[in-house]
Amino acid sequence: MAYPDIAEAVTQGVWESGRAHYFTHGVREGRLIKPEYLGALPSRDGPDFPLCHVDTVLISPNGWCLVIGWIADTVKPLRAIAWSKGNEIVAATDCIARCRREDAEPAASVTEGKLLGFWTMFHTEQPLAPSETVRLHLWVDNNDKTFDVSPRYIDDQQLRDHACAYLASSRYFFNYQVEAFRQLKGGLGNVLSRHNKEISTDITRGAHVMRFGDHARRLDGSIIVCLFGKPEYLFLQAAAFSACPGIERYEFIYVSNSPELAERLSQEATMASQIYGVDITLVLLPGNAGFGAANNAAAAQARSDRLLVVNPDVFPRERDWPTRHSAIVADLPPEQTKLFGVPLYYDDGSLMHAGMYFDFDVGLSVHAGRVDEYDMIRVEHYAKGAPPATPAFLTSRAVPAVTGAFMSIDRAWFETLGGFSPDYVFGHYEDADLCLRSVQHGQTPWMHCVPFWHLEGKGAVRHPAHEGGSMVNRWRFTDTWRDFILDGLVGRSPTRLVSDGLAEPPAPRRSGRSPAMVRREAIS
Amino acid sequence: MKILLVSPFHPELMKGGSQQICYELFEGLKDLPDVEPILLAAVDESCGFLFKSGARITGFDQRDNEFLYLSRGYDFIWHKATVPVLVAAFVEFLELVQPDIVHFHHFLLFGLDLLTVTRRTLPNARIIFTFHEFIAICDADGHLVRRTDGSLCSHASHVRCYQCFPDRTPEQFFVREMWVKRHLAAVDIFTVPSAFMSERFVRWGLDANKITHVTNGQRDYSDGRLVTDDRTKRNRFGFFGQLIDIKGVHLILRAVRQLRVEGFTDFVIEINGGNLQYATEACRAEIEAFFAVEEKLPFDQRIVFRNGPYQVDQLRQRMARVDWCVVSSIWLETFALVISEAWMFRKPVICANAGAMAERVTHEADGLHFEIGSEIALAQALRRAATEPGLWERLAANVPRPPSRDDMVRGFRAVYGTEQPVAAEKAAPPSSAPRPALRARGSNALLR
Repeated sequence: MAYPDIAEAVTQGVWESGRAHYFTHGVREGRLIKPEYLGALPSRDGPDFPLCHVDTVLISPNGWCLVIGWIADTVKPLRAIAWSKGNEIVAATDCIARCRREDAEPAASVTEGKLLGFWTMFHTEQPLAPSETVRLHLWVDNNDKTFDVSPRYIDDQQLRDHACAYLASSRYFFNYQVEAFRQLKGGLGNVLSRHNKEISTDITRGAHVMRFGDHARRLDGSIIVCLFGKPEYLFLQAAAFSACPGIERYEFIYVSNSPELAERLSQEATMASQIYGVDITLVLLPGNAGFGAANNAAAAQARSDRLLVVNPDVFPRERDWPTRHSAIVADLPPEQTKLFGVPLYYDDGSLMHAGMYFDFDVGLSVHAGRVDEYDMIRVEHYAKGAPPATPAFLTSRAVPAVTGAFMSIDRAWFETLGGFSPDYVFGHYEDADLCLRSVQHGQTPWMHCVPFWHLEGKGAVRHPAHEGGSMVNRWRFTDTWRDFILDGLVGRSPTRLVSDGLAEPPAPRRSGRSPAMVRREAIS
Repeated sequence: MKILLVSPFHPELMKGGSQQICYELFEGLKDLPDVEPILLAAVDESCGFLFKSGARITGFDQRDNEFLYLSRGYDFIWHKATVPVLVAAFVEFLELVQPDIVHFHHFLLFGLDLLTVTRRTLPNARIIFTFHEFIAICDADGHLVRRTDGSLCSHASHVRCYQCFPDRTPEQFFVREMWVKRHLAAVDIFTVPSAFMSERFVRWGLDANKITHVTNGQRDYSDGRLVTDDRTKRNRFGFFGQLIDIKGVHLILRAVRQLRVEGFTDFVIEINGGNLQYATEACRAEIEAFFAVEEKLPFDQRIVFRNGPYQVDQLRQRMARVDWCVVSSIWLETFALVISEAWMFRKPVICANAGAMAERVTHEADGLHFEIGSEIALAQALRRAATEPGLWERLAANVPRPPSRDDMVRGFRAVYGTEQPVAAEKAAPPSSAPRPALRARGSNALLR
């Protein structure tokens, strides 16, 4: 018996039936996938179980498991995956993502439109030793099929990369972003996010700090740069920034998400300090903690009250930027400087960024005889590709968000907000998330005109896993901020900023709410 | 006055124009009583036999004031040092020597960033930089020849450079330009051996007021002893230089093939030089295929002869065998030392009609021009030179005296501020140079 407590409650007349309890509480509690329930079901391995195959099982020392396979579950769906040690179910999940498996379709003889592929990640408190054989169970209805598998043992970062890469490469019958959203919303998004957060925490705990320079000066700001895969940006930035008068009142903090670059970065920092006379702190991480966690680790090393979060591929466009930046912080009202961004330019001369705003893509997914809508927030940059001297984009003004490519923030405010969220995988959306938390706490970001170059996307290497991470992040960002943004922060001229008298951006191209939003409202 | 000459390679260890000129200058400055020249020549691991354990800078072969910088790990993409102890050793050397002037003849094997560290270490020293090619502008070996089609490049831009290097990105060239200019900003005066170079660097964004023309100069390898003859036929041509693509020896071979087709064979070409191994595979294959056929011909049917590499003390003998020197380079050249060497032996030059070659050789006055890169034009020039009565005599009579080492030393002394200019002249921006506003925009576009 799986749940003697429920049986007793039914006997006592507290519940009319176990079914009644299940639909009242059990669904929420996940009772049908609890190991004690699955373990109580008779093992069948019957011949009528749908054709299926488990391709990959990866496990990590910390008890995380990634399972990839396919199943022709055309009548009833795959509802749970578990593994057992001995005869005991030790972990189970019903957060299962589905995807297209063209390679399995002929063998399964399924009709078009059926997603045969499945994959999941889950955690157990009883991690396996590498030599142990895992018995994996797939459940369709109350029938299961067992597989004796020899999982590959890899570390958690590799496991995360595999999962994200698989998400990025997954195929569907409809729009891949919408379908990925649907799969993540089924619970796997939270699982991936939690796993990543554990990894980031572990990595930042192992940070190694090295300091180069005299570190005795009083500073106006700490320039924090997160490096990944491209060490050359340390010396390129040091060379460019050090040519600017007033830079002696700023320090550099480079945080590296690429452990393999540690020695090279140490050498480059040594030389940069000697050649350019700049103060550099290196925060070397033993893995890729992601943009948010790495920047938080770097911020903890700052020696000033002002943090400038800067991408490695950002370079000064005007030599006097340090004095101008310091003057903005010193002279403007605090509400305009607590968190602000600057105009960024492409190398071709056109504007790349003058603040960010939010819009929605509405994706449609046809599944199980239904058409579902999925809102997906799109973060847009004001001024992308605009003529370089467009006055409207170069004036000081409030904006919904600014890019993390260059973000100047009062350190105390940064800490009040809790820094960048560690919920995002690798990178993307942390900057907008931080800005929205700032708005939520009463402080709208501003733009002030201290222009920089930004070679967008060139400052770091990008792997397929990062694409998967971006999908998770977009889902996470939408899940977190959808309602908040809908409340007056949609579009180029968000009504909330305009009504607060904070913004009067250039003539809007369309109304404050996206056409899809308006249309849906009309129908409802 | 102490003058530190910084040279890429030592000419006795690796041949090359930059180091040859730097060494000539070093030798010339040694003759001056008020100047103490010090040479710091870089060598790389190809001269590993000179590397000493734990040493970064050493002396050289018991010579006074000659030092070797033992470069390693050089970053050829960004042209920078990558080894901290080498940077520290360079700084220590500057502090020990305390030169009044640091004269860079290149940044190769040292790194562009050592210009900046020189300024930081010696804030009162003057930093002079001599351009020997265009590598600051052009990553295609500094030749300003497009890798897409071999044509001359009119100007660098991020997109145009990307077209030559499609494995990179336009943004990389944006950063490269910013990086190079960042370090060249440490320089007080740039010198160029040919006036036309000024226009290129000004158009690229350097301050015209910081660029000065100082000629290259060499000692006279003829020692004044010229071999004369009274032959009436002047149909012997010589090529002197490296057998690499950019020097265009393959162009000469194509011209020979063309003239054979036309039935004109009454001439001889002698190829002097080596380093064919550094030519591209295609160029090397073309040259080797030509000689594979040529060297099997009966002697009286052969036109082209390979004499192999040579040292400057062999020049007299080799020049004596020819009437004309052919400079067939397919890039602009920045001075073309071979023209000076030809003139030392009173040989008129047939050269391409571009860059330093056209600047130095005057068409129909002391030599002949042909359209750069055109084997047909070269063939016509060779045929005319070999057949036109009185042409050689007229042109040879006007061959100028090549700039001497003393001319060069006087020019640099003017730059150093120790003497009034004689051979040095401020390179006036040519009429085709961009207007000041445009130049300002060029320089300000990256960092105002």
